[in-house]
Amino acid sequence: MTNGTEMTKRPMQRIKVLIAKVGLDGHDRGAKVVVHALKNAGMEVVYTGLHQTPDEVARAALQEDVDVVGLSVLSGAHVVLAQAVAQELKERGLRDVLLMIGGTILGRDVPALKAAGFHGVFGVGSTLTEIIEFVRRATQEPAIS
Amino acid sequence: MPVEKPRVTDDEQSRRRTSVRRFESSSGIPLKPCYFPEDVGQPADTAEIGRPGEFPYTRGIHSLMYREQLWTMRKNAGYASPTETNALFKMLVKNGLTGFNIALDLPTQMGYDSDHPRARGEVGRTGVALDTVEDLEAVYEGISLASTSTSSAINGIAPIFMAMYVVAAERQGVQPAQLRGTWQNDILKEMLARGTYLFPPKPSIRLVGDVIEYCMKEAPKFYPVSVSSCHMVQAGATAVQGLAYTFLNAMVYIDEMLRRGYPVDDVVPCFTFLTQSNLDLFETVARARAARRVWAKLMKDRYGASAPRALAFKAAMATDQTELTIEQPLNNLSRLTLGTLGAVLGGAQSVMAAAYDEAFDIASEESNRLSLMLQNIIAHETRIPYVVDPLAGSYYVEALTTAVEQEVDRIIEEIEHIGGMVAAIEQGVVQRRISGPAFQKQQRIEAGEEIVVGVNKFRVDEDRSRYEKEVYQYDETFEKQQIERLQERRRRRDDTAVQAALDAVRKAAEDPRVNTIPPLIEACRVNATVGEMTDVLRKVFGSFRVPTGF
Repeated sequence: MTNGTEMTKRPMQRIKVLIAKVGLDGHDRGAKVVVHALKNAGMEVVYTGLHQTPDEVARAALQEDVDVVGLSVLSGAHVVLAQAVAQELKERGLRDVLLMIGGTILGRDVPALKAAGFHGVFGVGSTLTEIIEFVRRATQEPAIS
Repeated sequence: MPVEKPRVTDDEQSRRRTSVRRFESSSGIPLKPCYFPEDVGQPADTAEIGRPGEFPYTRGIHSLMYREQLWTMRKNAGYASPTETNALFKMLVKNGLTGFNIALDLPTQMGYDSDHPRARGEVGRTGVALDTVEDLEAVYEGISLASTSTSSAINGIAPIFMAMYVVAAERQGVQPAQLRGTWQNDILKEMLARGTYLFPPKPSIRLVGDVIEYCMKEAPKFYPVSVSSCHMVQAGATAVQGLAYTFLNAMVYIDEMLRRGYPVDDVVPCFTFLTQSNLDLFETVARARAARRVWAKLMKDRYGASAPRALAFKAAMATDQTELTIEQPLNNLSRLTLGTLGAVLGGAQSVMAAAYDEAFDIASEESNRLSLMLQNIIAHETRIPYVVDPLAGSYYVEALTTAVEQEVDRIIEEIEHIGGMVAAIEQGVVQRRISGPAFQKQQRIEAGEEIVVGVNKFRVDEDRSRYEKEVYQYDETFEKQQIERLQERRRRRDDTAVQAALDAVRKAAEDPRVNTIPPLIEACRVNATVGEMTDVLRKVFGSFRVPTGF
């Protein structure tokens, strides 16, 4: 288990991703499709299930020792929840976990999400290919073709 | 024998009655209410197809259908504040809406007050925020609950919402017996998709039963349950899978009512359904027809029901939101028109078309209005409502109807083989069957094997920021305002009365033989909050986490 204080790069190992449904939204088609896709792409994926609090997401990220945390929010509460998750992760010393978020996210919210540390923002219409590419590039894993 | 219809008020009756006196085609050819093989010199239909208004209702549950009464036009709607929602409702009624469908925010649906930590950022986002009955009263300010019909996708807190609605009506001087509407109250579906369940299966099913029982006794014009396939389909199930799971869920609730000693012919007429119409127009029609046939046979053969109202499958149909695209969003109007057309050709009792901008956010006023107008155009300009079940007798439609029926029967048998729906949910079986197809569909779209216009073909460069500006603009200060209103209400009410009422709710919840609705009504009368009432139930029933299926 890494202590999370240095960038976690695992070129020879599998990338480990936590996909989390944070907040009260219960629509998890998108989250589950992403879980399927990342697993298919050779990554190790943990899915939290519904209705996680920001604190629960951060605890799961720590326990599972993940490289990436991906949130899914379709309730419109994405900015508040993303900021809260980023804060909880920081408080646990998980500063180098790659953050991404998907859901019904309007273009005008992207700057706030990026400012909160979410470099991958995948609104409606995003493709699985884009998400997989983003994770690979950001974790510097050579693409398996 | 035709199905007896619930009485509607003159006001609504006049809005839904067709004003047409002469039923003829646009060129003046007289049209019969319904056509049969004899009309083209063919031998009569089999009993499987039958006649509209007669068992097994393949051709529709009423003999004259839309000639007598158009379908109820609904639009799922709700803005953050009760006041905004009230204005939206009034606008929709002016534009032909004949039944409200109130959208609630997630804290309300999950039983949290607006000032609960889990509600942070969520208050008023997906619909109106209701903390106490006073909020619901404000939604219906100037709208009589005696002459409107309300439906809502309310599930986990359905007993509480029922109580709130009764008390809001009471404060207007309206009795429960006058109330009309439909609650979703379909908790097993929430466990499979959408996620607003609160308690383990057993107490959850009991609460579904409490709402049904209350309506049977006190609010006979109210439909206490609308078993729904839509959310399962939106979560990835095929529409036929969704239909089969819907029947399986419905049978769990029926069994609960039979266990309580009610006769099947009294219980089943309380059931309505919400199924999906989608761009596969012919399968939509075939599913609607097959659903009626499957249900009639299940109720007759398995449950021994004989009342026409128990055998007739009453369905609302809603367009499939997952077919809406953010790319070239005005294309969604064409998609929604086709979805609505399928529902009407299929003989739905109520139709809910989404709004074209819902892939972005909460629909704008204009897009809400357009979704009603496309229903109005089909109702008033196309002459489609003149003839019952117009696609019957098509080799394709009849064969597809039978194929859907057989597949639904097969899935029902399969799930029953592994112990029924509750067991299947607990084992994660159905969850896996729903999420698999969703992934495969996305893969097909990305591989270009399934074409979505404007998405993987005919793409254009477009600036979509204007749609972002046109959708409903949530007031970022709303959460704070709602919390202040809630806290002010808590300060000025009688805390002793609230405590006593909540104790009575707890006692009722602890005894499975007692119906929880009457004490919840008492609690609403003294302005107990949604969160307080839900917390009492949470303490008694505990919580539950549905397996994700991974």
